[in-house]
Amino acid sequence: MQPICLVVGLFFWFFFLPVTAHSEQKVTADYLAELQQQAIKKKLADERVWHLLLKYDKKLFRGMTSEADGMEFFNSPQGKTDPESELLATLSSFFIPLAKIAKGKEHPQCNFPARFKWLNQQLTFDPGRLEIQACDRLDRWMKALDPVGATLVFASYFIDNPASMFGHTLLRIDSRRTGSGNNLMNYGANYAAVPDTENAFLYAFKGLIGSFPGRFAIFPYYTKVQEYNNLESRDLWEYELQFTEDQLNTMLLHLWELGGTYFDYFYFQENCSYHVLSLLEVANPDLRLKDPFSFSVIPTDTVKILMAQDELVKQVIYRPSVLSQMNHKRLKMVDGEKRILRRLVKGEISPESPAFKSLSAPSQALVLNAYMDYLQYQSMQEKSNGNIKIPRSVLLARSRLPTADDGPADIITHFSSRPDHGHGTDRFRAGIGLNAHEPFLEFAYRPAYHDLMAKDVGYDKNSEIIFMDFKLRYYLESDRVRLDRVKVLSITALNPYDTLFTKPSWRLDLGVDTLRDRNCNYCNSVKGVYGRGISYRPDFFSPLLLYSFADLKTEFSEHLKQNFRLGGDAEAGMYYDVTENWRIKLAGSYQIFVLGESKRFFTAHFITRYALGQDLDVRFELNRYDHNNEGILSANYFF
Amino acid sequence: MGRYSRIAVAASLFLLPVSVFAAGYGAAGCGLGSELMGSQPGASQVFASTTNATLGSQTFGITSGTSNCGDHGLVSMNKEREVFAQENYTSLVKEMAQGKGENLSTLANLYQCPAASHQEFGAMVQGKFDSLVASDQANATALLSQLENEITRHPALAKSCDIKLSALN
Repeated sequence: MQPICLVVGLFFWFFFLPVTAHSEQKVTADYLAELQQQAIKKKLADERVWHLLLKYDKKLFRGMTSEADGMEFFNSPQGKTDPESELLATLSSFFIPLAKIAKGKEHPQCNFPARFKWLNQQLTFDPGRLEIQACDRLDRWMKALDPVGATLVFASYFIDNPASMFGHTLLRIDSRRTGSGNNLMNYGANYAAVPDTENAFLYAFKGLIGSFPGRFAIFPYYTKVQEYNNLESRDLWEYELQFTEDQLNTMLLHLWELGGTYFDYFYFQENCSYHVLSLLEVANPDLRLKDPFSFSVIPTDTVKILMAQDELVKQVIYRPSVLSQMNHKRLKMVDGEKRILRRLVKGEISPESPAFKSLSAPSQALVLNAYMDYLQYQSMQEKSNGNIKIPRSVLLARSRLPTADDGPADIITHFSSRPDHGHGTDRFRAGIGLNAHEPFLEFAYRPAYHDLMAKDVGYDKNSEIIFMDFKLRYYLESDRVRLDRVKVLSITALNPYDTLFTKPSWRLDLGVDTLRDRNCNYCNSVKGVYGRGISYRPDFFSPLLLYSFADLKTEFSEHLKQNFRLGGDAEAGMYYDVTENWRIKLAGSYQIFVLGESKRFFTAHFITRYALGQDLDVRFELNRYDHNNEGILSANYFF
Repeated sequence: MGRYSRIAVAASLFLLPVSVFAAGYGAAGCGLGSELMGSQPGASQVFASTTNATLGSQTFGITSGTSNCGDHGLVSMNKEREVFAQENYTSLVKEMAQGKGENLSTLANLYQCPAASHQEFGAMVQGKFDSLVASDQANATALLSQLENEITRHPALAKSCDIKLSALN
């Protein structure tokens, strides 16, 4: 109790110091002391709402610590680690006379309106004894935003950009002012790192250790739609959430408070999704959204957690990317139309050419609609002068054709599936296997994200990202535990060949592996692989995916002559979905190592997977590395 | 050991293509909350915000910069149409040529045109496309001023829409 008395005493001192026996100030000081006593008695500093508002979190060994790192966020110098001191100081700050506020600064009541609102609810401030300040800018901000709803917007991962490798979430504030049908005009609250590097690896590293500041910002939603849907061509999923207007009001007041501070940005923990969940918890403290996360908060997991709450998600809406919109139109085309589109894209013909004019008017409209989507996407990729344009001649040709009458039957094709229907991002694997010498058990865990053998509902169909996948094997006869493989980071992006786009496939694999082609008692190597290739899927929804790669490969191990080998491989393979739940993979490669220890050998793989549910599958695989064979039966659980 | 370092360098070169980033679209926001805004206008009001997804250069800002931001950190009400048209220019002209679309109906709403008139609005902009987008160099400002002329001339839309009153109700 003593430190508290001391703090209270300090505030008394603070308020008495300038006093020249002025009764009004005496009343104020008495009232402050009274409120502080009440707050202590009611143990307000221990309340969940207070902890949420100040971002307090119980940290191992460090006790209560606020995640906010900008010190302006606190009224007490001890505020970051002492909820009660902060609460008493906050109450005291509300009493600061307006005249004492520096020009250009806001009064604490206006700076911390969510704290003011909640403390007022708890302590019922007497306006006769505590002067209530007018907050002009805040009022106008609130009036402009005028929230009636909140929508969590999910962007799936974007494999070409490491910064967005695990997807992104932001919160759209749906306003009464914009009304229905004007979602583009609503504002979005976005939490993001403010990075100081463009180097991908530095970015990844700094992101992991939390050395970027993360900040909230608020944008018109249309800028985000342009960025994700059109520039990066990512489908968006919008989860409309159920909140009362009072809850939304609190959330926005809190967002206002956050504008002035920053947080250390941790790529896996305190990231965009984590902070968006915090906003939702402030709106409705009964929600407990962050509790289930231990190691990482990945956007996909956050939409699942929202769906798991009773009646929180009202509606899920798909907002197709510009290329999905184009592909939707291509699916409706007959072969002749597709051919004309291809020739337009290649520049062989123009909308004025006879070949184009020979199509019927509705066909011309359909082809030009798709062509304009293509041009919009392409022009956005060239970031030369910010002039994103579709040539006027094309626009004009389209404007002379009738408005396409899609009718209500034109159901938008979903080129991605609902992220909340996907498997969990953590994976635990247990398996039993046999090689030429002995049987073994294997256990593996990885925190993220998706592999091409897993069921791809909710994920990209053509790519995989595996992060920190550790696999141990216990060999039963030789009674040894070996580190079998660590995939520190493994990415495969198969970009199926498209007549309109040529985008190479690529892959990257960094980690520790076993030298499986050698009999060296399961010795390990440090491995790096990078390759490019081509892949092919007969059409968008075909169950067949073919691929081939040429890779550069290097391995370091003390068991190799000269301790390393450098070479490459050529690989060809296929994935085939026999049924919705049953997938087969066949692959073969020829490996050539020319530097260090030179060697040439073949590998072959057969893997089959059957999904038993959203989060569980069983797999059987046969692998051959040079002359070494193994077979493994495993169960994979996602969570 | 020298060889190892050379190999390591060689190996790292293979990895570089991964770092080819997508073009940045990070729009600069108007700021948020009290401290950022303060009372001084100008640069301190805007902090280049990057999304989780974008790094580095911004190809657009809320392009016209701070002058479009109100002191409350949002787009000024009287600039809503201009900023919207500017940021969505390509989507907008595409939909104008098609005679319909979400951006187009949003623009109609920004001109206070009731939902019942949106089809007519679409037909009008499609029909007048030639004059709305006068050349390949046309920009959002020219587009809006032409559009306002056409709305005024249109017998029905002149009555149902309002080009004076800016912003949504």
